[in-house]
Amino acid sequence: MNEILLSNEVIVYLLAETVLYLLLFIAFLVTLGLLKRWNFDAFTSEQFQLENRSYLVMTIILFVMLLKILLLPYFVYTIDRLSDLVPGAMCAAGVIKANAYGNPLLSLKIVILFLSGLWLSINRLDLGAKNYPYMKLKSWFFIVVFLFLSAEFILDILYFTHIETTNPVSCCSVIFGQTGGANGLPLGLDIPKLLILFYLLFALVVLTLLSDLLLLSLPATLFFAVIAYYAVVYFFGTYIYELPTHQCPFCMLQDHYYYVGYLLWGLLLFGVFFAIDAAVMQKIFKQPAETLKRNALLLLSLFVLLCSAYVAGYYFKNGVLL
Amino acid sequence: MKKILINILTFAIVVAVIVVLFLSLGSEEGARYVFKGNTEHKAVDIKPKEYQCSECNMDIEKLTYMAELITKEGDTYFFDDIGCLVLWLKNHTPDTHSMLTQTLDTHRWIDVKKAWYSRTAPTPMGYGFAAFEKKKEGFIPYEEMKLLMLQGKNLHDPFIKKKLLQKQ
Repeated sequence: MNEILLSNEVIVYLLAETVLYLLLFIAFLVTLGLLKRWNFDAFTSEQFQLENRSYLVMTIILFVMLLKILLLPYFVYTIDRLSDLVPGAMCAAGVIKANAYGNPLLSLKIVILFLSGLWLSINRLDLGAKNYPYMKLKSWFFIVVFLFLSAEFILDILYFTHIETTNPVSCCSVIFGQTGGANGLPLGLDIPKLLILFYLLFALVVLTLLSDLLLLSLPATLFFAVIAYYAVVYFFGTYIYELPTHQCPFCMLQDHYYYVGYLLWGLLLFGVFFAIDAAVMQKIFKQPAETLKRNALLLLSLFVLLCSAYVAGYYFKNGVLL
Repeated sequence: MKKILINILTFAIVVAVIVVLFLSLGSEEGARYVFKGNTEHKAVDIKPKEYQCSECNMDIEKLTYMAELITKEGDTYFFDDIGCLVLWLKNHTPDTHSMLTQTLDTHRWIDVKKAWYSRTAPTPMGYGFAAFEKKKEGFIPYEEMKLLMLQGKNLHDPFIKKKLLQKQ
C-alpha cells in the first residue's frame, strides 16, 4: 500500500465517501422501488408505507448531500496536504495533475455540488407542498445524480490509488506560469480584456438578477464563472501572492495566505449556484426566488469586492501595481 | 421608466461583452506557442494551425516539416521549418532536453542531430532544409545545415538557389 493511502486525510476522506456512498446506494435501491409503485391518489396501506419510506429516504439523501457539499473543501484540503508527499508538488495543483483522474474528478465534484444543490431546492419545494407534487421528478433527478456520484466514487478510488510518490510532478508555476509567449487565457484574451469582461459580466449578472431577466442571467452567470476563474488565477491571484509570476488557483488555500482561497472560491461557487437556482426555481417551477437572488447578489458582490480589495490594498501599500 | 433604463443598460453590456470577445478573438494574444507539462519529453503531436512557430509566428500547417524543442521542464516549442529552429536558437538559450524533427522519408520523430538534410525541399519558410532519417547523396548533417542557415546560404539566397536547382 502506498504512502498516499496511509495518510490520515485520505483515510478519513475515503472512509467518509464510502459510508456516504453506501447510504446513497441504499437510497437508490429504495427510490427505484418508490418510482415503480408510487401512486399518490391511491388510499392503500402500501402507498401509506411508501410515503413513510420516501420521507426516510429523502431525509437520508438530504443528509448525505449536505455532507457531500462539506466534503468538497475537505477534498481540496486533502490534496493540498498531499503536496508534502508527492515530489515536485508545492500545492494541490501538482497533486491534482499527478494522474489523469484528478482534473475530471474535481470537475465532477463541482458539477455534483450544483446538482445536489438543485436537488435540495426541489426537495424543499416538494416537502413544503401537501401532496408531494415533485416526488417523481426529484426521484428521477436523484437517480441521475446517483449515476454522477457513482462515477465520482470510482474516480475517487482510482485517483487516490494511482498517485505515485516516486514520480515527480510539475509545480503550479510550471502548470499555470507563462514562458516563451505562452498565453493560458482562453478566447485570445489578454489581461486588460479579461478584466473588462470580468466586471462587465458581473454588472450583467447583477442587472439580469435585479430585472428578472433570468433566461439571460443563466448564461451570463455561467460565463462569469469561467471568466472569474481565469481572472483569479491570472490576475487577482498574483495580488494575493504579491508576486506577478505566481499564478495558481490552489496556493491561496494554504495558511501563508490565511486560507483565503476557501472563502474566494466558496463565494464564487455558491454565488453562481444561487443565481442558477434562482433562474431554475422561477422559470421552471414558477416559484418566487427573491431570497435566492439576494443570496446570489450578496455572495457574488462579496467575491468581486474581495478580489478588487487585494489589488486596491496592494496599490495602497506599495504605490504601484504588479 | 426604471425598468426600461435597466433593460437598455443590460442590452448595452451584452453588446460590450460581444465586442470585447470579438476584439480578443481577432487579436494576436490568441497565439499558442508553448505546450507545457511535457515531462515525459516525448514529441507532441499537434493538429494543423493548433500552434504557431516560435520564430516566425506563422500557424504550423504542414506538419511534415515541423520541429520541436523540449526543455527539461517539459515546455515544448514548435517550429514550422527546421531553419526557424536554428534561427530561434541564435537568440534563445533554453534549458534544452531534446530537439526533434519529423522526417520526410520515414515519417518519424528523430533527434535533429541524427537527421540528414536535403537542401532543396519546398519547406514552409522556403529555406529548403528538410530532414530525412536515411542518408542520400547531397544530404548534409545537422551541424552543416545549421552553419549554412546562419550564414544565410539557403534557398532565400538567389545565388545559392540557382546553384542548387541547376544541379538537379
